Amino acid sequence: MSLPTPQYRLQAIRAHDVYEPAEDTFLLIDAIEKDIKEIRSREPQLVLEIGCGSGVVSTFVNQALGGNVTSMATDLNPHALDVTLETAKLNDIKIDVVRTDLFAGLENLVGKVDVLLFNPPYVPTEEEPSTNIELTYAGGRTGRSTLDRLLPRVPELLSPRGVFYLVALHSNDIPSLLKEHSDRMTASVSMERRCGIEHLYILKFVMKEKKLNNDCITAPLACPE
Amino acid sequence: MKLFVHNFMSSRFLKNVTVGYPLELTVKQFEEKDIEFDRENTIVMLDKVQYEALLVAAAAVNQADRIPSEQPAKYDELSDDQLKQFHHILMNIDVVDGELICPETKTVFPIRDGIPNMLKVDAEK
Repeated sequence: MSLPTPQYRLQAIRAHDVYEPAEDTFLLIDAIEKDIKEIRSREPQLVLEIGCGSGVVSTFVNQALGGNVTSMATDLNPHALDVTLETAKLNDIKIDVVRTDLFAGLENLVGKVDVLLFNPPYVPTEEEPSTNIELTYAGGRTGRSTLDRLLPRVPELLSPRGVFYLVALHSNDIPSLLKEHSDRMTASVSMERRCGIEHLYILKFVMKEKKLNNDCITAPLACPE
Repeated sequence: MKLFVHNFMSSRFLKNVTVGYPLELTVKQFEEKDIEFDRENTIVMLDKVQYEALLVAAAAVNQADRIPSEQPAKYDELSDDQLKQFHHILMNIDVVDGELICPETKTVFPIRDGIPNMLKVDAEK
């Protein structure tokens, strides 16, 4: 069974320098659709998308999870938030949006996000971005300048049953991304696709179940709380 | 901005702020929606919520009397009617126009057209 792609208004997106749904957007949607049973089995309640752009991905996830989840989304660009609300409305779902950088000001979400979505500006560029539209794709020299600000904080943000989907380019160094947080999260390539000059990846990170430490196993009575 | 969002917000990211929580909330305009109630979802959501901050949010729209002033010991022992009151506060109240205020520095983060703006550069202008 194929889940429908959300409706959206291209006109509004193009008029306001909001990132237009493209191959990367649809690959992320495809990856979520492929995993949807597994995601549902985690019984997610809170979904957060960082850098929601047109809101198409957040809308898709909300619908794919049966509308029972609470969806939040952030973006720096106020027009992206307007368009996200419009996309949500067009598809008869609810998304709560906050204008901020990454999740600044939402630190109390730490440990509570069940599904985290991030399609960062990943294109390697000579200069750091300055305009709204550059901010949607320009990732600095490695293409990872925005991602590298979020990545260290992902494990703390996720709930114990949390899952994180990330869009990346081959040139962002996929092996190093997969190794990031390997002590706390299990990482895998969910999907990859060549689209013209871009070799796109969807990486999936899942929180590892907390293990008892060795002291507890050998001497359970002496184990501190 | 639904009231549950307030529960996850803080101004700790500002310079010289140590706790920054809960944010003070001033509501100039809000709408009451009719989002479908689901018992399990409400309980899961309440488990993620900090109770003192929830009381602050409920008081900001003069509806603190809908919920107990002390946190219930177990949410899953509440009746549907009680949980519906929580659901109303968390999900049905949509702040259209208002302000979020840092409790320490009094920095103002505006809510316009239902969208809170937590950008530091805007707030510090």
